[in-house]
Amino acid sequence: MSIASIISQDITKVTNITFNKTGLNAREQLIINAFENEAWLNNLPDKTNKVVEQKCIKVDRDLLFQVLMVEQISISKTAQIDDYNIKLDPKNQKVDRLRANGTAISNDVSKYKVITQLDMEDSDNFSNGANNNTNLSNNSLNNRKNTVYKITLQAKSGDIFFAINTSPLAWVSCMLGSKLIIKAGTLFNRGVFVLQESSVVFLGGINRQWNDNKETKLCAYLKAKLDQEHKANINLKGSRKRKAVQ
Amino acid sequence: MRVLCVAEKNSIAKAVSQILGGGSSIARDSGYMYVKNYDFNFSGFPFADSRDCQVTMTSVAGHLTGVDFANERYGWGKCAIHELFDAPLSQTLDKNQKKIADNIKREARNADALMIWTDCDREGEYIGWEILIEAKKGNGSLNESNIYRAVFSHLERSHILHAARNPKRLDMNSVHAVGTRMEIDLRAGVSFTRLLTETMKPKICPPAVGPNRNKKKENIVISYGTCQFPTLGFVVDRFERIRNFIPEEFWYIQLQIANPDPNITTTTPFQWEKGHLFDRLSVLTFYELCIETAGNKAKVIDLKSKPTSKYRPLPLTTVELQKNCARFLKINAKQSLDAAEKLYQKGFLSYPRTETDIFPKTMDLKKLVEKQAQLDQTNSSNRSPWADYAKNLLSDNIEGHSQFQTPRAGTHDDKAHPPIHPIIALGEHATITPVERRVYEYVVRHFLACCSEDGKGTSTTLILDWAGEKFTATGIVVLQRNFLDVYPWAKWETTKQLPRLEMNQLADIVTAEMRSGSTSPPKPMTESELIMLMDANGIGTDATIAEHIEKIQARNYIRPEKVGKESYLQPTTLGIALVHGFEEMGLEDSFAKPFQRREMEEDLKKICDGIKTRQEVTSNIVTKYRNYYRRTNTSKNKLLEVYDRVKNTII
Repeated sequence: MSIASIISQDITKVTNITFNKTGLNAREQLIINAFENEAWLNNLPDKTNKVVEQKCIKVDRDLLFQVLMVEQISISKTAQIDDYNIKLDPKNQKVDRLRANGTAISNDVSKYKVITQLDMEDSDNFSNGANNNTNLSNNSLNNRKNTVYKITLQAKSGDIFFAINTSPLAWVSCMLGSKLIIKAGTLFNRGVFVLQESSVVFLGGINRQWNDNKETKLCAYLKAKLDQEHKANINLKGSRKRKAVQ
Repeated sequence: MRVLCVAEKNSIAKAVSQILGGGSSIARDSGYMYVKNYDFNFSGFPFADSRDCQVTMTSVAGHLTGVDFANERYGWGKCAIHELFDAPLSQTLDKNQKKIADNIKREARNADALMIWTDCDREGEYIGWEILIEAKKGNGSLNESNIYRAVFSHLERSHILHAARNPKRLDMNSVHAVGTRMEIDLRAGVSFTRLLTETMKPKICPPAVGPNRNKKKENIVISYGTCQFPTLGFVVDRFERIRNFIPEEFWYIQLQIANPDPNITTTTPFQWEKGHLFDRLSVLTFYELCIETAGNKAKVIDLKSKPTSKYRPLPLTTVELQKNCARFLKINAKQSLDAAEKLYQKGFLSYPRTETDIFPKTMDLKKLVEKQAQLDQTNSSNRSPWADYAKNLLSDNIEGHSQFQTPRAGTHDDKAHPPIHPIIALGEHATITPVERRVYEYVVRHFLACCSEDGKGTSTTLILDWAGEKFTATGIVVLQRNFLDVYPWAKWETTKQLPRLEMNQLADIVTAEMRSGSTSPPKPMTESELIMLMDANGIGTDATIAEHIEKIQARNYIRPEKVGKESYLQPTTLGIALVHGFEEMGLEDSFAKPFQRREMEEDLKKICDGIKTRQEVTSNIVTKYRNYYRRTNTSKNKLLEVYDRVKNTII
């Protein structure tokens, strides 16, 4: 079994492998150690409940994970769905808004490009909210360094954790199924690893099936999540009201 | 030598003849009530070697001719609609246009030269060509060598004299571009209007019988226009965005910092650099980690004070004028443009249709400011409220520098007209309407603001580090208001003082809170926003944007809705149904979205630049419309289905 096979496949399906550890370079050594290390919080009794009680602990060994999902959480789902729709179906994009940053539009068919850049500076100077941007990203160019991603990670044991970044991560627009090592010393809080560039060794890799039509799937995922949250909110409000009546 | 001059409107003819004739022009009737012929002598034309010429100055009243299908053969119900895509076009003249045309023919009869004084834009160029055709009918000796074009953009005396002394030629490319636009608009407009009306009218107002028949309702027309539909599309898209809006919860962290000065008890909020995050667990993670690792102390890691400015506005374009009149003065786009037009005709303002936001270097702006200072008015009650500001602008400041500033330069230049600016001061007894007075005041204040210094102030930014997370507060102290004194619509105020902290100091956090909020839907479309969208997407020209908005209101596709002080535009059932109907037929990008129209606009520009020919562009676009027509005609029941659906779901 080679190191390539760890990187190129679903690690939950890698079983019973032994490595010939002679003659490995430092990086290879690192990968194998991380792979072989005991899975994170593996021996907690009643895992799901206990994991969220683990407050502010430091990871004591290198851990290998695969990336299941990367979600931008600095931008509303609505705005992200809008952006996907523009890419996936430019003819039907909503045209009722000036886009202050050209980043929202990235299609090659110039015919369907809606307004490139507008000198909004002036309008902004004088406007009292004439352009209501409540829904747009707070992720303008100079703000990009503050973008936060919520990354869903899976260990070979199948256990799933979240991770967030405190500073920009160069690899964050990676393929789903990419492998990475979270290094010892990284902070962990209630199921969430807190990452920065130096706490991660990114290994790359891809799971083809997960990445097929990725944008369409991500868009559908966001829509479903938005709907779900909406319904939950309505129910919540309903129950609150009932309580008030009682 | 006899010269015939023709302007686009009587008011321009009158003003120009006053200037060229040195105040001694004589008015004659033209045979049409609103047009006069002005006779005078002028000796500045270079084509007459500056010898004395007998000049007659007359005008048209907008377009001199129309384009239409011959009614007997192609009238409503007299032909199959699809024939309209190939039907021959003919020039039409209504009763008044005939009178005006006859006058031009008559006056041209003895002329040795013709000089066109229509407005200097694409449309004006075309009207010039219409005049030329009529003039030639009256006088066969008029030809390319003795037909001239005056280039001018306002009615100030020296400018008009310069235009008369430096004639150019008509730009035939622009004429062809307008011809193309008119042909396409006519063929697409008439064919789809007939199709839509015949399809949907019985649905919208079923034929009534008996004494309660409403004649007005029976005359309903469901029109199509290549600009009307995309304009409607913007409003419907916004409506749907609001209707389908789902609020989303977000979370953020906010710190309240105490002022070390014990005399100041209020705290200052510091905002998290990461802003709002749409995931509770993630924000909780940041929050807990910060509290665990740094407790209630945050360190000052950046403290910067720097000069800052509030920029004065850019020179005024038509679209900005309409937008700002709607926003600041609550005057709608059509009213404000009409008022500006009147003010131009009366000589108070420069030509109000311009895309240019940069003043030509050669323009003497100080002189214009001087006019606004009204130095000749000794009685202060006769002076405008901004006269003292203008006067002050011409003087030096304490350091001995002139307070007058060259305006900021924008990036748009239509090469025809300078930005909108006042020409002369408005006397107290000037005969203008209240709306015109307000629009005039806006233009003057905007102009004076352009010629002023930016607002000056100091901005201080304090950045705190709380366990690696950064929190910022900014304070502004306004030092010199400058242009803000004459431009009350821009707001810039001194903010609350920041706590006195020093670099590397540990600040006490009074409260650190994890807060939540939720996104709110956008506001319905306002007219000023719609103007900006149309402009940015190339729907209509600065001159026609207002008409398109009026039109879709008149057609009952949208209606204004007043909420408090703000007036919003909401689509009607019919409007929504039309947009979705075309979407369902798969024609969204050609009808309710701006794409098709913008493509055409780009083609028209190419005709102006001589890159494409009229024929090329017309045949290409008309073929497209013929195909859209075929598709719409075969699936027109969709339109009715969608109408029913919209009616049942929305109301």
